[in-house]
Amino acid sequence: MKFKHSASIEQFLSKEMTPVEEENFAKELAVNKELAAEFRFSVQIDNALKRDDILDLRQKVTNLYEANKVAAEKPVYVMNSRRWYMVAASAIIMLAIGATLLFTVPGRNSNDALFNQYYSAENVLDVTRSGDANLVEAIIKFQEKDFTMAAWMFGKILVKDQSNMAVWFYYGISSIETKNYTKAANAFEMILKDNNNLYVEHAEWYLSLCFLKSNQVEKARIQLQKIADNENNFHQQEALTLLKKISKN
Amino acid sequence: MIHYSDEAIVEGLRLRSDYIINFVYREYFPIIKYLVNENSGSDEDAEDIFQDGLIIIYKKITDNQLTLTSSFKTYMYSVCRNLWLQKLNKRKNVLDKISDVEDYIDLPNDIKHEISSQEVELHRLVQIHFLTLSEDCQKILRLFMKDVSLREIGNIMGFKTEKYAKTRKYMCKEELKKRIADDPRCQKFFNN
Repeated sequence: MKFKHSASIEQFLSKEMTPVEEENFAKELAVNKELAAEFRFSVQIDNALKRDDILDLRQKVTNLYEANKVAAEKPVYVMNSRRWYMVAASAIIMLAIGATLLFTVPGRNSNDALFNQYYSAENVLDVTRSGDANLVEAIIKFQEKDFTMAAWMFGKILVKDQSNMAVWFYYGISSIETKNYTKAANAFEMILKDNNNLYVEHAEWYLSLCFLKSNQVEKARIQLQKIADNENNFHQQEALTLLKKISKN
Repeated sequence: MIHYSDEAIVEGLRLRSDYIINFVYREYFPIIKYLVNENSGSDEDAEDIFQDGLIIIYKKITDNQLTLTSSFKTYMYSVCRNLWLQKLNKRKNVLDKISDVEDYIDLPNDIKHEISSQEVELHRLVQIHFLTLSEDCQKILRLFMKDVSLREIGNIMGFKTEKYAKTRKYMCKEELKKRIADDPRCQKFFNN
């Protein structure tokens, strides 16, 4: 396809023609097949480029294809025997260093250290998703580990509706991640107050960690004891171990 | 592994969430690839079909016209299946029987119309070439398509005069037209 009429077409599409020029262009368009084909071509291109969001979506899908191809093409790494000896030697050295550290680090754990040792928000996302757009967006922020945004969004949802215990739970975790331990503790206490939901056991555990982190050791101990006394509690073993460590402090 | 409800997928796609796009790709692309491969198509065909299917659904979502009468998976499969059957027809490649790997539904007429219009395929090709242009050209054309004035485009891009912005925009569009016209896959759209 040769482009002989680009200048006039672009002028027309950009609304740069005078009314008389526009009228003449329209007349010519009606009788000149070549001009009409070129004009359609140009309009179709413009239409394809008008949706920035679709361009963005296509780019994301294309990136996934590319990433997948690169991953599939990565060669399987074969170690030669010399390398194996080096790896084995390094592992022995690392083990030795690890063992030395293990036996020389003092036994006393700070509340901070214990919190860091026991707190994990990994894999907590296991609720059935709702179709609510705000909730989906908040969960997506949570997954992206944008906890400031997630806490803010969950908080906004809770202003309107305080009955969803899942939202309280994720609000609590997001608050821990943003170091708002009081807000987090309040969220977990709401779940415990409701006492009729799937999050009670987790809320008890995270509440005890919030107390520990904010140096309310006695409260943490009481909370942990409650967990430890319940043999069906998912966190019983962790609670027992943590109680022992606290009592050594 | 996280599983999303159909409502969450629809809302996530509306937001173009990376997580949801990733999830949809991971969960459904293998099915579409299998469908296309089992019915005379290549991996590249499968990529095109999956992408076009997703865009058709995305447009329906953003136009608030998507009503799921089945699971999202069945819906996605049905859209892609229709797209692939149409492509096979265009290639004069008639199969005695389609090997299906999933359930499919009879799609509403508006979606069927969208599939048969081939607009989504044409747009894909235009957009592929657009993304190969220089970053400056992409930016100028994107701004222009958003009805930003040439004067403002000149300011944003740091051009000294409005006239230069106009010339650059013209050259960028000409380059894009040339690349599209040179692509054999695009010929069928512009030869009539």
